[in-house]
Amino acid sequence: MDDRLTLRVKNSFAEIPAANEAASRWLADRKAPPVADYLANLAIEELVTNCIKYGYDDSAEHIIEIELKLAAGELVVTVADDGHPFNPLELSEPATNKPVEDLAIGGLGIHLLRRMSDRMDYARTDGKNRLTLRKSLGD
Amino acid sequence: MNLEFSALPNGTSHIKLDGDLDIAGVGAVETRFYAHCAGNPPRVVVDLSGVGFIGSLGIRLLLQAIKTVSARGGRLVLLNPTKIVDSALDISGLGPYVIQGSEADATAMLFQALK
Repeated sequence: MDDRLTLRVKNSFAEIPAANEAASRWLADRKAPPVADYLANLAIEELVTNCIKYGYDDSAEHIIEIELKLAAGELVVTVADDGHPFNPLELSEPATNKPVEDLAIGGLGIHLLRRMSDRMDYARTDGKNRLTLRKSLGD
Repeated sequence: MNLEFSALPNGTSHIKLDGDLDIAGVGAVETRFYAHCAGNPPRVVVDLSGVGFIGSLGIRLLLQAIKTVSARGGRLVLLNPTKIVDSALDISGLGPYVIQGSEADATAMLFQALK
């Protein structure tokens, strides 16, 4: 059974549900725990959405590549896009310890990804943003 | 994504969400969800036990509802989220609005908070 899944999705919101379903199916076939399914779906939803909203100046079709890898008790999710250079690690964390009236609406996607994964790495190579998330699936 | 609404005899609104609070799920229920966060003052229990996924849009839906209800002098509580959804809510600052327990516990918490 392959330990790697590559999904190539167009920069369209309509592509996200099918990508999430494919990721969930692949992880379920490998009996990955719920936390793996959650992180994969969160990464696809948040990063593809950000890319579609803010990544491009043109209306041309672009391909966003998502790779899932299961190895050594770890899930590794990599999302690569050819949009504007964008390093989410440079974003400041939103203050979430305030009264709810003062909490900002928005800006939580990257924060959730950062906190739900064990590690997040960014690289800009060959004209592409590559964000890699890792999550240990051990007990 | 499904939304079931019931008005409890004590004037509390009970909203049960089932499915994923992803882009499609939020889009499917958003208008009805906000419409049901009503009352004078609004007292709202949102049952999240059937929600398997929540992304930033789902968090935003709940946060906006909490703010709106609070601004009207009411209170909204999030009942029985699953473990992974509970983690996401806590990370996002909504932990104080989560309650694990029965519907009666949630209603009691609402009335206590609004005393």
